Amino acid sequence: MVMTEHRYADEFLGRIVSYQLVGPYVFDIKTVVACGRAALAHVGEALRTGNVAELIDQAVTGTDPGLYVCLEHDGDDDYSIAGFWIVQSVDYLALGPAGPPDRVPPFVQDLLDAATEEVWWQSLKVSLAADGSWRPVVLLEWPSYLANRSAAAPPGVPFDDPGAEFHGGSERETWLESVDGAQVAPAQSDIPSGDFEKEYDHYAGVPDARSVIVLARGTLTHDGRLHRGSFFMVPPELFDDGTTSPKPLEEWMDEAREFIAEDMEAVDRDEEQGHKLGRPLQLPGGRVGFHASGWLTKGLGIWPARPDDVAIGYLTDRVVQQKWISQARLAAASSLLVLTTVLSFTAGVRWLSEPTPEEIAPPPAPAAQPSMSVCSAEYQEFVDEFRCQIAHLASAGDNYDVGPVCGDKGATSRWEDDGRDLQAEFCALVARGEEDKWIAGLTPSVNSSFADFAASQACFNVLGHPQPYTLVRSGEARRLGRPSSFIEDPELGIQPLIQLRQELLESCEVYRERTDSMVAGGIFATHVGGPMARSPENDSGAGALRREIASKALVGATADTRTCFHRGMEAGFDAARYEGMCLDTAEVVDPDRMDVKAARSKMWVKLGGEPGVGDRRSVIRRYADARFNTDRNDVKVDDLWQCHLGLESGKGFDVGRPVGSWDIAIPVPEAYDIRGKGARTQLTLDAVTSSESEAGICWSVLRQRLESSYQEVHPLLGDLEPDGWPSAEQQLCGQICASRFNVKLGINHEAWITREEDLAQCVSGTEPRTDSAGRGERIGAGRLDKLRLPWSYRRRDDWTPPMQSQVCAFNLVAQNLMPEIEGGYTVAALEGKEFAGETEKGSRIAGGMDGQAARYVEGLSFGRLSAIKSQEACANVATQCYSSLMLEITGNEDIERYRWREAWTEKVEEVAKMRRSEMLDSNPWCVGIRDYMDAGREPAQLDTTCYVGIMEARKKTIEAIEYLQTEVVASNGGE
Amino acid sequence: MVRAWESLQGHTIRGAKRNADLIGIWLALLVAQHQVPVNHPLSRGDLLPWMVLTLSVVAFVRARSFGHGPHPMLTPRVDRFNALLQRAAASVAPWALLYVYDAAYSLDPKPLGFAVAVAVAVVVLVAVGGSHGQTAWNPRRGVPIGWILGACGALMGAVGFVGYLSGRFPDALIISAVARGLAIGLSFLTIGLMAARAQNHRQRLTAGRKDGKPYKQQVFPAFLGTFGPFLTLTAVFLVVRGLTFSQAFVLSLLIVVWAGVVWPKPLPIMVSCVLHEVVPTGGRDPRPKGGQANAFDMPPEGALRFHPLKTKRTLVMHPWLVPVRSSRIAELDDPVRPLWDTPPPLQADHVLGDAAFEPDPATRQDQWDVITVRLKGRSDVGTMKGGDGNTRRMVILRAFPAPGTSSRSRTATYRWENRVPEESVQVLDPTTETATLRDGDILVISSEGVARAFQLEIGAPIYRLLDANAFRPPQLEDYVEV
Repeated sequence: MVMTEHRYADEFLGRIVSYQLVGPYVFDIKTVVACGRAALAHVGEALRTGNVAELIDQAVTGTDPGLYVCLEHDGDDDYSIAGFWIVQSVDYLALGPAGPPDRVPPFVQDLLDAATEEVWWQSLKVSLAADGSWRPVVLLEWPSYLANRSAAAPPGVPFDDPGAEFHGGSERETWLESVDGAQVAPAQSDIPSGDFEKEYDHYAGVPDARSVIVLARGTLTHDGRLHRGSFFMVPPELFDDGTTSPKPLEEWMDEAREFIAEDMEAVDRDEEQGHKLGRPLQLPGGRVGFHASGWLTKGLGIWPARPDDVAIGYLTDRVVQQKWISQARLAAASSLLVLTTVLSFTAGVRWLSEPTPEEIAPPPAPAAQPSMSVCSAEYQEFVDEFRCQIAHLASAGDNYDVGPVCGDKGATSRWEDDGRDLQAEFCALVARGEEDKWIAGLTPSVNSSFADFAASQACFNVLGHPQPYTLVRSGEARRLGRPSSFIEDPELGIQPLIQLRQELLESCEVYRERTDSMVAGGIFATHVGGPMARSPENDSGAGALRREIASKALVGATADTRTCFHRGMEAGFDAARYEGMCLDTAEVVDPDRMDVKAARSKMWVKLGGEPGVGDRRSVIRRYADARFNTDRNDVKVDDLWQCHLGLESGKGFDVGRPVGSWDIAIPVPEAYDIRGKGARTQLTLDAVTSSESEAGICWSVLRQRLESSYQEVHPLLGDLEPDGWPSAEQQLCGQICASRFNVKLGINHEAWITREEDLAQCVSGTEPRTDSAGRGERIGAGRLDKLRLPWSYRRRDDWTPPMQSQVCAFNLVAQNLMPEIEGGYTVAALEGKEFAGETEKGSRIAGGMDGQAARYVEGLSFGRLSAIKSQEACANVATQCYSSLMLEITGNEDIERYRWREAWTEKVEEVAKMRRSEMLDSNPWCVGIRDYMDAGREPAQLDTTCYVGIMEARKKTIEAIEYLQTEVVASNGGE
Repeated sequence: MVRAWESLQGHTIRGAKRNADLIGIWLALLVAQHQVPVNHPLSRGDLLPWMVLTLSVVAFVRARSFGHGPHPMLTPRVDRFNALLQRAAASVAPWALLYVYDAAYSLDPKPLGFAVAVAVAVVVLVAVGGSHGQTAWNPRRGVPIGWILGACGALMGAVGFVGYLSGRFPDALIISAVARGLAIGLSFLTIGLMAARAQNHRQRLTAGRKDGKPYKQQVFPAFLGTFGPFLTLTAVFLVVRGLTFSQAFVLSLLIVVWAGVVWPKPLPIMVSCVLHEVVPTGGRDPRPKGGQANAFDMPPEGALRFHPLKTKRTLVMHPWLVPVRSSRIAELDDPVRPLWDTPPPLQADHVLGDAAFEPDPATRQDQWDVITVRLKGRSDVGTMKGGDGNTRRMVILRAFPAPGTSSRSRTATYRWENRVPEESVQVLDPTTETATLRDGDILVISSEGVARAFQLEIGAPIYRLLDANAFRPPQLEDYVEV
């Protein structure tokens, strides 16, 4: 540091001022901060150490270039730092600021930074404002030898060159030239610009040592955490009051320290005026400084371009918090972060894991105790015991609690296991509980299904009869395990046993459906239809009936059910094992998916034993025997299995001789016979299904099965008249005849399967008279009133069985089922009852000798013409003859409908050409009119009266054939 | 709100970067924790061995004295091997305390034997490696044997006492928690005291403070290093009941965090940077076809486009020492009286102006990632001398803008210019006041049709002024006159 020892005395005012400069200190433009800190350190130490007097003694006037520290006299020997004072040297021309883009005066920020880094609030004695802030003043002075050459040259003095010769006058001549012409107007506007003389005169009272100065004011504050600082350039307008006398140092210094940044911004300038120099300010050493509105650049120009471009400068905020506080804050923040994370995580886990008082669903029961195997480490040991228990319960029937057996405590002998199949037996035990409600009563209060009993008892025995599982029983009874403890108890339950039980129950459920379907098939075959051929085309009527009804009965059934039903229907119950029981072949070649699934159960396979070993009975029989091995009456056996048991026993059912609709007897098979022992005709089946009469449990099963799927076809043409004539049963048969011979077409014509069988069941060919020997068709209640023909004799008392067409023709005429032609079908328009007569008066059975048709046929046929020469008599006989021939034609499926009349004519001619004996055998009714059947014969040769009647009958028959041939035949003769 | 978010973001990212070593240690311990067998002593139920292991590892990396160290104007001796020995001593020392704790806990002399063995090893390591960091000035000779033995005895006694209490009341949760927490806190203190030197204390005591006041040893760092871990660990043990070895990573995290607080990384005062001269390796447009220029709406063919990623370094490089302008004031933290006057370090008169790593404006934390250049009226940007214009164009190209900066495209001058983010191009003109430089930025200076490009590489930080003075001083030819 260079200290110039000049005693400062204010010559201007003649008194000691309050502000003094100490220095100059080294001022290196490149290291302003360091220079500032060095100066402050020196001054600060002097102030701290009490060497103030010495320092003040060294106070200078600041005429030499360098950095000065401005002290304020606070009284007595008390001084404080008030700011900085920089007197520029010629180095400024090389190293000074160029100008743009600066908007704040140079060096101020660096000096204030230096004060900050010297920790002014701790290390330096500064003059603080009332708010605790320090407002240092930074003055930049360009001495006259620089200022005069600058663009802001002080007014009123010639360009000063100390080395130039003085030529007198007011201006010193010099070879130096101003860097730039004066561009800055002085503050006083009344000075004519450029008129040096007037300007000189104007500032005559101002010392010639005129500098250009820039005054900046800083504001440094700090709180416990941050140090902030700002500075601004004091504009000259704030000191300008229109006078030219220098403003005293104390005065402007005091004012400068009171200004605020807003004062700078509030200055109103004329933008076009540009920069200006303010009122001269008194400086130490008898100098004055013209306060400029901008600072000089190194080229001695003035910057910024416009005074308004000057901005407020800010220091970088500095963290001045005590380091330990900062460290403690960091520690607290870090610890808080970690603790918060850890504790919140822990609290969260605890909150999530702890039960809450909210009502929630009861917790699930704890899983049953695990075990390495089922009840025993030795799996086979449990298997053997389980098989033994099953075999025992299946065979013991109601004596299941008699023991000890198998591995029971106290058992003396074991069951010899021959490896037989026990699957059916186990499933029978399952069905006892689930289907038959037959459960094992172990104590008066403890019951169990037989399947659970077998499983739990096997487990109990294998485990060695553990006490917790023991069923408390009185007396010396067999020691049993409590099935519920093994199966249902949440704590004692054994999970593998529960799983095993579940697997077996599922297998039994699957095979139960198969078993039931197979049994249903066998029952069906026994009761409906007859054996089916390989292809439907070759079916007999009964076979076709079975095929058709079976298909209806299985509507909606699963594929398994269908397969097993057909297996039972076609092959009976010959399957020896569950596996492959429904396959078409007895030998299992390719197990189906159900068998494969069941085979996954290890225990199920174990229960199956070895194929071909042991009991050779069919699986159905073994199942039924095990399931229904009881004499108890409270066991509920479903209808299917009741039927099975009845048929299996061969003892039949005690139902008497049940009669269905239309007095048709219901066949009740007593034993299985898949060839068919039941309803072989559709007429019988309809009689059963439409009847509610008791026909045994099997028909109940079948009725139930067919109830929704099968619709009866009889009566074919319409409702019967119970009180009409003839009887309803004959009406039923008449409709069968009409449909069979295509005289009328029934509603259910297509669904009518057993046509010939039904016709045969309805038509009687026996002699109607019942003599003492019992010959003839018996009629009356409890029997179907078949259609009959009252007369069909080859000769007297020599009955020749009539053809169905003949019987039907007679009854169709009798029941007015022939086509309705004009004038009626009969020549005399007879009522049916008149035409056919009754077997007995009031019997309502058509076909008596008192009818008009039969009354004269015998005489006409056997030559007693005198008695029958009436036209009607011949016509009625001819009607029967021609009608029967007509039905032979219409009933022949080989004759196309359009050829019926032609075929009938040929038939009549064929019959007419028969010899009498032949005609008596085949068409007795035509014998009497044989001579008249040739339409070409002359009437004169014949009995004209009879001839007319016969021709009339022939004509009506032809009309009827033509009607059937051409008209659309509908039920009830409708069109 | 935005400022708070930026502050939080800056604190987090910068904290993670500065403490990457500790984060790495914690992650490594996290992985290693699962490799420890159940019956291994490290997985002991009270978790003390695992905490001591964590402390050993972080001490090896970070351990320093709690005090200010030697007088800053003295040059300490640097010996890497001995420094390693000192780190090893700091790393091993906590185990001696652990064995003392175990011996007192079980009243079994066997662990005490291990403790003595470890203590001897520590003494040997310290004695052998003591030359590292040694300075020349020893105002008062002599070894404070009494202080050393007293401190060791006090530490051992305190650890032994809490171990004894813990062993007598094994079911008392509070005693167990306090004992374990205090054992770790005392371990922190032990490590800090081991790195201290009586000589350093005497130096500062003799030099005094700059303001003339006597030097006072800082107590708070030691206090914080002891009771900080102690209290937080105790709180964790008390609150988190049933803390097992599977949650040992939580305690590791706490210790690692406290190591970062107690032994923060020193802040550099300068950073050595290098400006590499680079030349473009691409970007040249094809020559015009037929020798005729295209229309004005077409890119000027044959022009050179500078791509910041398509450059190649030449062998020319310019060292650059950039100061780190700290938000803290050195005189405030360590007002030690200088032993002699020192000239201020030379400032780099860079072509760009005053360049420094200024504090992060959001967090006010020191940083040495971004250089802030304050262009204070440098003539290099553009000058007008009389009638001659000397135009220099400077552009800073940044290939990858910093995350979080605006991705808005810069307004292009020409329609064919590629759209690049504003942050990627900084044009320095006479009105530019500040510019920023990041590692990898390309500074292109063109003058009178000649362009040169420099790529900035930010190098290692410098922590002491003495080291900075050893740096090659900037030369005039390094920067000026392109």
